[in-house]
Amino acid sequence: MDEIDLLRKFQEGFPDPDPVRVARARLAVMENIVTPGPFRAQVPRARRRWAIATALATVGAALALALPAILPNEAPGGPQTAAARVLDHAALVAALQPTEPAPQPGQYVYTRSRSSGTMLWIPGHGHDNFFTTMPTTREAWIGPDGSGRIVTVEGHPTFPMPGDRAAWKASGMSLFRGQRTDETFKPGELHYLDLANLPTDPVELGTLIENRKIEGGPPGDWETFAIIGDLLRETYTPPELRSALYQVVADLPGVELVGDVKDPIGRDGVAVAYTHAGARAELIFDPDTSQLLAEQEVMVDPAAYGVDIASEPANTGVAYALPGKIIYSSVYLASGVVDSTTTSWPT
Amino acid sequence: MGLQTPTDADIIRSSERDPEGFGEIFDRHFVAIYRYLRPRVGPDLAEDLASGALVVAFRRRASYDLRREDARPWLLGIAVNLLREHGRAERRRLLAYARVPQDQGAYAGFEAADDRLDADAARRDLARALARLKPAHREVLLLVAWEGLTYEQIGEALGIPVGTVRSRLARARQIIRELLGRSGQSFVAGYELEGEGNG
Repeated sequence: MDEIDLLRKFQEGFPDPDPVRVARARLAVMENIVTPGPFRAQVPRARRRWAIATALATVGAALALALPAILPNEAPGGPQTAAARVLDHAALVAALQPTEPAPQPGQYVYTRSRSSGTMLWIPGHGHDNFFTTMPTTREAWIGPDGSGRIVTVEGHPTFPMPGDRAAWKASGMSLFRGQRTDETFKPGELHYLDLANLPTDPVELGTLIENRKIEGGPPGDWETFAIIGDLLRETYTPPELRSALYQVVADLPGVELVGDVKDPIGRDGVAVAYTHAGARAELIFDPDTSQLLAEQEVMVDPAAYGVDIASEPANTGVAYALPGKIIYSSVYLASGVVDSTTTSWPT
Repeated sequence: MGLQTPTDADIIRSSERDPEGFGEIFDRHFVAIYRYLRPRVGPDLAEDLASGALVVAFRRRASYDLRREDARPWLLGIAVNLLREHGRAERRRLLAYARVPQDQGAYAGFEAADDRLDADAARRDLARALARLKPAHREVLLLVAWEGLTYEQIGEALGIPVGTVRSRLARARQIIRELLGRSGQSFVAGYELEGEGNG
């Protein structure tokens, strides 16, 4: 057998991509083709959603996760009007915030965030599966020309339950720790959302978003909620625009008020949410400034999410897949406009 | 054209008016591009880079040489360019295969079945040897071994003369043979290799 045959055998050892991966990639590619703009593989939202989908998925459930069914919205009623009231207040607060000048060419929108997701590991070979919670710190510099830099640092994994640690020990696996990536991007390689010139009239803005004129995407209220999250995350949003965005959320059917919460690092916030595909996506903002503090996903319906609880050992982190558990969080630690990709923003 | 299946060139030409039609190019080539990248950078980056290559291809479709019926060499060339920016990720991945013992687990989720490697000794040696090759040599070797491209197609994909393809391939094969012949003694610790330059 010569080295070419060996190499062929080596490649054949790797399976084809599963249909979910192919379908997901096709969607992303076609979205880029139909809606021109820099390729969005690096945009956190896409990653985040997919990361969530992979986080707790057991193998058989993957398809259901990546192609989520449209769940019926919560019946409109009390909570929704309460949410609308809180959001209208947030809109008012936002409008009163001082305006930071928009980033100029050569400047960057800087954001430091820390996210944490719970992942299932399958060691195989007779070992029990186990869960870890993996924190990642991310710093993003995104310039108006689409150039920039993204640095991520993986933190130490923790184990949600003692059984997880025990199963990990028994498996003999080494988990990657502290892996750091540092990538720089040339103009056009990152997706810069230019929000400086959008209308700040909520009706006008809402119509643009619902018609997918600002960001592409499928129709539906959940998608609108997700897009508004995108517009608030790692972007420059002038106060009047932020105000208008909150008003658009307030008018969106299916948005619920979670109420006063502590964000994952203990800051006081107010959360509004949209439940979709078995999980509740929450936006947590600072009631005093209306800045986005954090986002999290809370398990509502494990079966709808695609987790088969019965198939996992009871003393491991499967408890994290139980209703009410936070399965993903992202905390915004600092953000602002800076002059270079080596300048951070003070916390 | 008639009832015949349209060639890649036909589709690329008509995608000028019908962007959605470019989806056919995805359907024909995505899996192959993914498979070319997958062993080198892992499933997630392979997916991103293969998708990225198709998006870049779509944007550059005006410059496609419509005399070429099969677009795969062109698409692979674009993917290789994207891959270059991830040279370190590739080396890390290859060296990881070199040191992963057989019963190590795989990251769950979509990757459960995907990442399970039959990491026998021969594969470890091969992965290690691949990681040692200069990127330019490695590319030519893998386009031959994994994609079965002709020298001319590789030349087109990488933008190098056919003579250079030949010499790089010969050199890469020779180095691989040497490295495999000596494996076991010279490459005890994959970790040590990570500190070295990329050649």
